[in-house]
Amino acid sequence: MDAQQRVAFDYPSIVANLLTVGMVAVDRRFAIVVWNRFMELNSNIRSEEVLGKNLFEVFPELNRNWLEKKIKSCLVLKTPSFSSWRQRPYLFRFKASPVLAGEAEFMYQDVSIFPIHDESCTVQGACVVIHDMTELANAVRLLDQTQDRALDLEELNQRDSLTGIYNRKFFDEQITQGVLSSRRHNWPLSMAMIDIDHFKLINDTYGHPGGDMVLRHLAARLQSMLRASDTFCRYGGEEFALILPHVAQHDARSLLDRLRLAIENLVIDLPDGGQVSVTVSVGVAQLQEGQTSGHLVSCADEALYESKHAGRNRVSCYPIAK
Amino acid sequence: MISTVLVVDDSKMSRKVNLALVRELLGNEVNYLDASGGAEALEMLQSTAIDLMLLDLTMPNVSGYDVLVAMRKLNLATQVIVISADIQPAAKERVMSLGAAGFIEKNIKPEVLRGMLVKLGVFHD
Amino acid sequence: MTDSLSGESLFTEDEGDLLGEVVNIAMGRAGAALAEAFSGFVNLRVPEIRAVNASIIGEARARLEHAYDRISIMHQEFFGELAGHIAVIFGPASYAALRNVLGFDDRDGDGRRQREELLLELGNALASTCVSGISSQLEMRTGLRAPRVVAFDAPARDAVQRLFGDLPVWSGKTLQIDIVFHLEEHDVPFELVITVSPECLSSMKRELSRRVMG
Repeated sequence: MDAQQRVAFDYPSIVANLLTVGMVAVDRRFAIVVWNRFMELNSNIRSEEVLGKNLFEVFPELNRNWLEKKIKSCLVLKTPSFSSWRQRPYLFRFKASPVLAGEAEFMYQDVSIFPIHDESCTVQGACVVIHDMTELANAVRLLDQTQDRALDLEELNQRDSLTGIYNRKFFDEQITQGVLSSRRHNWPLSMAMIDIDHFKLINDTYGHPGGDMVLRHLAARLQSMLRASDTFCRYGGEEFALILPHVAQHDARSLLDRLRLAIENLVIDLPDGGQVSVTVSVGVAQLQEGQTSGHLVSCADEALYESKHAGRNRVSCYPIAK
Repeated sequence: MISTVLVVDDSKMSRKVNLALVRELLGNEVNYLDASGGAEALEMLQSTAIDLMLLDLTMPNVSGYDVLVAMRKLNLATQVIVISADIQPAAKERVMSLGAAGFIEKNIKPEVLRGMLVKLGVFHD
Repeated sequence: MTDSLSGESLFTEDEGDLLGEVVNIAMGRAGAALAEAFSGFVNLRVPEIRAVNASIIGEARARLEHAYDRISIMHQEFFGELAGHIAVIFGPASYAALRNVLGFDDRDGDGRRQREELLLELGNALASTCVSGISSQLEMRTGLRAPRVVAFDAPARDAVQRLFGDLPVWSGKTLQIDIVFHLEEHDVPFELVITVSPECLSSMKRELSRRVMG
């Protein structure tokens, strides 16, 4: 197309009419020199009303301190400057479209500021570009919420609702994992089965509320004495299982002795005002060479059985000394 | 009357370019030397009579600053123009207070060097 | 400054030397611009260029993991004829020093978001002045994308994992520029790591060789 046929476009109007991003240009004294359609329609202020006026006088609600600094550094450094909705939700407070915005009360904005110059290439002002990020912000918020809920659900799935400690399902998963890790990395793994003595009697005497109270308090007391790496689970009605990674039998026994004693000394307040004390029988076993998790659990069970038989309120270790 | 010029810079390319620039202005009658570091420069300053030195500031081990400081004790007649990538006012002040005759920003523009040489009375149009 | 470039087939010795000078000058300009923009920056020591070399990303990763305990990282991409990634790494001590220096006042609060903004502000200033200094000297067009926080006061290992985990996997070697900044009175270093996209290397080489010949 030769020079004669080239259309003489109204270039300034291209920017002025741009609707999908906001453009506000200011000179060195912050007088507004460009105020495009996006800004007009979102602010309900026409460009004729603001051109030539000081930005901060027209919009006193703007964070002047912050914006002035940002624009100044852009002018001096002669490179663009940015601001993200993640750190600063918006620069201009505009309404958000309810369709896209979800619960957002205002338009979330990404801002970029770049230096503008005159015909002799001297930097004379800055252009502030506003991007509507509401939809993304909303999507991110929903995603975060969904992730939180998923985590909560997962937790719920793994927990015993009465005591709040881990449940049988979680125990089964963890013991299998534990055995694998122990073998692969060659560290000791022990476990214990803990059973409340005469629990049926507690239930018969104090009813289920009483029984539940005992279970809750006992679980809480034991949990408080354990480390983060120990896995403490409700195995059955009155039975608990404890997985002790990196612990050998000797140390496991010492620990369980302490736990047993703590339970013996524990006084539980009942809902009706009375008090009760319980004891536990414990069976301890350490993972042996070539043993499966199933075997390990049976060994602990056998040791528990031994404790019951030998008079209760005690800790026994597998193998049983005959 | 300039008879010997020394260009000091740890960058071979810089030495080459700056030598060419000076040669362009001062001609072939002058003896041109170069050094790749501060230590080498100081050796040469003490063994040869250097009239004019173009000195890079940011060099490893013995920097341009170190050379200037050492030169004060040596009482030499050498005129030093510092050539620097560091153009902060603080750098310029420090360099001038250490006795440099001039300070030029890298990359050297021929007309700037020319102007400096005229100012120092080293170059006559 | 290491000159491992000459050992690799990426650039000749002269080209590597010239590139080092280009970076030097870009740093000097960045330093001066920052000193003017943020008055607390007066006495920004001339950045130390730790490396301008072709290296496998894994080496950079290992070094960063071992050099620091907890860090914050800002990442910014640049694109065009000169393209690549910039990471600005801040140790915890940097934050306090920078806060004073950048003159962030308490009105903005001191929550996490405000701290992140500070990192982004400074990171962007450093990154953009350095990259534009290099690109303008090489006459290669480039633009910067918005910066983002990759890690905030996180253990170095996690932070570095997040940074390099996000970058596309590049095989072989690529140009890496490593710059350490110091604020004179604070003795807190922070670091700029620039990796150039392999696609740009041949254009870069062309520009450098042109200047070497000229």
